[in-house]
Amino acid sequence: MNFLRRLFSGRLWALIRKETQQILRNKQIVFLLLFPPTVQLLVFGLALNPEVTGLDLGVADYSRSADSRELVAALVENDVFQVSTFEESQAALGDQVRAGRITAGLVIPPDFSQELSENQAAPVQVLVDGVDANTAGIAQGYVEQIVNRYNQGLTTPPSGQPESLPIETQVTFLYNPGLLSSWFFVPGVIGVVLTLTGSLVSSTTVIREKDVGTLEQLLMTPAAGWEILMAKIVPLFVLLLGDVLLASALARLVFDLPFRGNYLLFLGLSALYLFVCIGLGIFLATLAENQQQVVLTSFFFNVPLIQLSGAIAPIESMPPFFRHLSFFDPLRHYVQIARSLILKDVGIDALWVNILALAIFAILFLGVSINRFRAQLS
Amino acid sequence: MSAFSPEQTVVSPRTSAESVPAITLQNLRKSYGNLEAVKGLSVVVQPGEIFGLIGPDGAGKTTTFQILAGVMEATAGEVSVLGKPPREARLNLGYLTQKFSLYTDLSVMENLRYSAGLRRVPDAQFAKRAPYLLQQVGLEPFGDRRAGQLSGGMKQKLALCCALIANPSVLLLDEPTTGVDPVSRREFWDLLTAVAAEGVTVVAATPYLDEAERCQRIALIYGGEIQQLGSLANLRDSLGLQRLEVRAGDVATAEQALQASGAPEFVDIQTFGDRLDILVPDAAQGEQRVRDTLAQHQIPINSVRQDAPTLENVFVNRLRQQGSDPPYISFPMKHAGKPKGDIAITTQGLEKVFGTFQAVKGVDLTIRYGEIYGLLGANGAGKTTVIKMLCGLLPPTSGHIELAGETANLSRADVRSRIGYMSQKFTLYDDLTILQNLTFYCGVYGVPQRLQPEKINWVLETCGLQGREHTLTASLPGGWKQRVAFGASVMHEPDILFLDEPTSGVDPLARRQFWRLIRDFAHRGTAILVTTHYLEEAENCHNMGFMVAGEVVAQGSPSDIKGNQPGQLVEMQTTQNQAASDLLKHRLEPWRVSIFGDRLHIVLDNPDQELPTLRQWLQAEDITIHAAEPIPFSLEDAFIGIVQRANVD
Amino acid sequence: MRRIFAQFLKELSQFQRDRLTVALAFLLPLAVLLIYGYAIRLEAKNIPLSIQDFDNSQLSRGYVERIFASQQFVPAPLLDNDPTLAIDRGIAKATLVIPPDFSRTIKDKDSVEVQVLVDGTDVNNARVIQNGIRATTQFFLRSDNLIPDRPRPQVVAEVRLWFNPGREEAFYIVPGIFGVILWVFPSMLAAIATVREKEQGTIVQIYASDLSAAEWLLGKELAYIAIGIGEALITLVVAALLFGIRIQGDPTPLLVGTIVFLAAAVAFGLFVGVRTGNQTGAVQGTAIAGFLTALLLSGFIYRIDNIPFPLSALSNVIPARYYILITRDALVRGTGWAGVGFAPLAIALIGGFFFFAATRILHRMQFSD
Repeated sequence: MNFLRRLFSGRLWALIRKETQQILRNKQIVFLLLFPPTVQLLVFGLALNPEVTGLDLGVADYSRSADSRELVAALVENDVFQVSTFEESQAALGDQVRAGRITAGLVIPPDFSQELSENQAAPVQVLVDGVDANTAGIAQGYVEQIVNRYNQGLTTPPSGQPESLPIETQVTFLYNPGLLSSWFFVPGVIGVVLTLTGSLVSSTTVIREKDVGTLEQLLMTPAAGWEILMAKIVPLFVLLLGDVLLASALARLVFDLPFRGNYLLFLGLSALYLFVCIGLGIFLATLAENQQQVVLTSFFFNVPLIQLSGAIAPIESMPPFFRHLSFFDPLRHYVQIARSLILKDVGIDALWVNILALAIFAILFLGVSINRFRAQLS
Repeated sequence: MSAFSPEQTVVSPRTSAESVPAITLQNLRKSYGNLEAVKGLSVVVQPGEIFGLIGPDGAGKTTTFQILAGVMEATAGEVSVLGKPPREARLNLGYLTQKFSLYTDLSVMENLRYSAGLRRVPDAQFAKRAPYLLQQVGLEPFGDRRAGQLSGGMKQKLALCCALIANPSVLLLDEPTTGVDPVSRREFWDLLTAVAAEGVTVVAATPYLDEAERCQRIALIYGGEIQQLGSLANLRDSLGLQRLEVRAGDVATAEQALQASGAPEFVDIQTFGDRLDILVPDAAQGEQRVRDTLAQHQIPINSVRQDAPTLENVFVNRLRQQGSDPPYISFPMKHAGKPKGDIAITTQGLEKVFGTFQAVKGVDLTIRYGEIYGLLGANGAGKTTVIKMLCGLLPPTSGHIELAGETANLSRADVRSRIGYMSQKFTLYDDLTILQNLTFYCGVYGVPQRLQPEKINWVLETCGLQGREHTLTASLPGGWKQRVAFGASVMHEPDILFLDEPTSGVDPLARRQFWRLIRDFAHRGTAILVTTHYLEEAENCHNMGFMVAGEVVAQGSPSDIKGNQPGQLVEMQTTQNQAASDLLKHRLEPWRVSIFGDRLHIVLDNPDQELPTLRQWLQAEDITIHAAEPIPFSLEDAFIGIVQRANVD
Repeated sequence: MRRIFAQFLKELSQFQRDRLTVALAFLLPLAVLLIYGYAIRLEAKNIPLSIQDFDNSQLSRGYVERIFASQQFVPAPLLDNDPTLAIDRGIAKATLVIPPDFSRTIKDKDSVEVQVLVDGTDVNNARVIQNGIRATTQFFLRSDNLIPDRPRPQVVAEVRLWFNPGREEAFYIVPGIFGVILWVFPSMLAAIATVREKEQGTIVQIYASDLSAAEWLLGKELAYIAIGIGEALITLVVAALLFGIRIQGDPTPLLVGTIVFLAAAVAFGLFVGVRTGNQTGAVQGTAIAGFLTALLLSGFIYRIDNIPFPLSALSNVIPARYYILITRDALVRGTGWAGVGFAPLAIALIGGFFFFAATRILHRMQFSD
């Protein structure tokens, strides 16, 4: 009781109240806490989709036979390709690829049908635009698979089932049976949003005192460095926790994410991550001299943090150096926690390494900031 | 209300039938939402005139300038500059704002070139004019220096050059000398007078009323209206009063005694540093009355002089008639202060080096509880750096500091809770209300909850802000912010108080109130270190140090300092002060000559022998000396002498 | 014209005074280039796969060996004999479960079902795993002669990858990065420079001269285009050195496109700068709006056709979308004007709109009440 009374009449309370009043007065911060997170979640969730469908296919069919039409039909059957143009010549088809109007071109030679009927190998040419290496690879794989299926269809009577193979692979997709790409991106983007918003908002509130000149006055009060920073952290923390709730509501309502793990644990660990973000922001603010510098340096830190976190591109695909480097990326740990708790049903036993890493980062950033805070004027 | 209506008093020095007025304002109005900042201003300014605008903060001066410069539209009324709407006259206008509008990251020359480019100055003209202007203001050695690295006085001269580069016909100056030291201020006004002599119309606002005395006509505005308009003589005569300059042993008790006497002769009693200005209808009667009253109270009188009222007398008197004299309410003290006379602050050999620049060199200070110590010096002399080191914000490069008995860790929380600090500008949070700011500082300094309302009320009452405590601080005029900031820095009853230019931009009445409060705190045992550019205020200090280029070059009580000045000070009135000053500065050492309002102050070693020579020199240029009499040194005279002599060395 | 040039010179000398900003203006693009160029790989490799082999016969071991032989998968431990536990923990991305009767069933010429549990979290990865397992299984069957020789008749697809036969992902990512870097940084610097004049009050001097809004903005525009060209050159040189990117074919579309694109980016920055009142706002406006759109709605990472309706309409007014077409063509495909002729026009149109909007906001060159 005594402690509580001391807390609420003391310096810390005065500082916290002042910070809260300033934040509430600042329309920009309130806007910043609401608008960008919402937009980022929606845009990331909706716009990023690695699926390869509807690739534009051009066809130069010299054969003009039933067989060739059947091959084209097989290619467009599962929506990976759609025929967008028929060209008279291979050269014209090539021009279409060069101009970027089609992603793949299929050239069926004049003797295609004849060779098939003579039971000879019938080569067809597929030109794939390799500019988008990922799409090209997937397109190539699909072409081969479809042609394989087509060939199996040729060996069996048209009406019958294709012969089954000695090994049938039965693939089950865990956690995300519908393979919805938003389920992959949204938990990651929640992490990205918290990182960007948290570090930007916290660095702004600190650098503003330096920019305006009130910092000097603040340092002259008996308040300790940790009290000043704690007072800055507490209201931001509460507001950013609101962001976590907002983001999870969007995730649940708009993207229908399952939230299979313990939601309270998710909130708790998000709170831990918020300390990391706020700590990072304050740390940057103690380094910089003015707003411009803080913003540019935060860019310098945030871009690698996001890109190495696996929020957008999978960590496993990175070269080994970056894969190891990503271990020093707090966002990576949070993204892993968020994905695990939202999509899988796992507990602390599976996540303790990540939790420990976050705790270390939080202590590190906040500790260094508090240490630097008083020294920064000189 | 006002003694004069503006229309009646169009006294213009160079009215000629064919000339178009430089500026015509006809019933100018400007409102921001519900707030009416300017309520029907009418004035005509003639070409080549130096026109002064004076008034308390928030009187509508800045708004008027912005409209004249064409950067803002008037709500109603007619405005013409050089016979055109302001926007069309922009290329013939030079405009200096309070913030100078310089690019701090560009060099002096680059700033100048950019301004020239903006105003279509041909290359050939720029090549001739730029070096000339820089040489005129003494900035030519600094052409490559960045504007951000110049001192306040130099920045302001550069800004003037930028405004003059395009040969404007009209120069608008919005309080350009705020926060600038007395020497630089005078240099700046010497330049302005020279510019006006070339036919440029100058309209200037200034918080320093001695500067305004150098204008040909002066408009006193408050509440968005011109209350009085005319030449200095007009304004003085409008008072219909005489001034008695009374120097007594103890000015404060003398003032109390005179006030208490309630004599009808004393129309107004104003403290000016070490003297009292008493406005009386009849000088002879008044003087007798003063002598009688003070004799009754056994207060010794050093001297009584009869003279015409100063502009500041007029200003203060008018504002008091308006009822805008801020109330004096003594601070609700809750605990006893330190025993007076104990040492609060000492330093030995204090040094600070920034990179290769030595900002502070071997400063030794001692400040005791109950003492007001004034740190004076030109802009950039190192005063603020000393204060920052003393209160633990900056570590000294070398030297010894003892603060409140503490030598090692000056930034310890319990040390800081005994210190009050008011920094140059930024004490308050603009985005909080006044009440929120005050509550915050109470809380963070640990003022007990039950005492807070009383102290906050004291600040609000002292500042005359009761009922407006929920106003956003950002919307307060600068002078009012300073008052609230002072309140915020003393609510926890500090033992040691640092005040860095607390009265900068504060109007004369409020400045007097400030000093009364400062004296109260000292009386109670608070050690106070204060800086100011108003030298007459510095008379309130018990001790003071003059800093030049990081060094304390003179130290002592005000009377020590004044007593140690070489030579005899002579005050003169001439037919052409500016020309006389220019001439004498050339013939004598420059530090010996300075302009004080409508007077010249000249330091002579042997007045009886030198005066006739001076008279001859001036006569040769057709300048007549009306009056010349020896007067005691004021601190401002001492300051100018000390600073300029030290700069020569 | 002279006054615009005076503006231009002043902006440049101001820019080069702040060392940190100069350093960041050129280092940040490189940092982004390196991070994206090296670290973003959309194609999954080294996927951790755990195996639960209930059969443990020679045949099943051969099968497993074949799967790992492709480099696509790396072995991951199986935890507690639970096929999903390693996936739960994130240690494995997939588990292959081989049933006990695996070799017997195959020898009986019957069809056996192997189960593949795939972590569906990462959708792209999941598909790659599915295809990879299927392809290696086919390959295993064929090489161990478990399926009959190729049935005839047979269609043989000869797939030829044009422009990027080695499927170098850098060839896809790096030209895209140009669209992000050259949009975000010039616009951010221009926005800061504009808003700073408001914050520091220097804009009053501009108001007090008779400089028009267009002249004032044009001076800044040119200066930041020049800085942007510097950034573009540095990025291009580093990309050439590190990723082996070369200009293919006609360089003029890239040259013209880059300048037009930079002009649009700076115009966007100026627009944000005159709209907002402080630096934080300006940076958030350019960084968040610019970065998000240039990254997500430009087709930089995934195909633009995948963007659903309301956003897909928006993507049409994202200049980066058109610029990426230009860079990909100039740096990989090499078709030239025939392929991307319309792109600079589209960019110029959008940039022109921003510039016009900025001058409209400032057109009075006065304080607003």
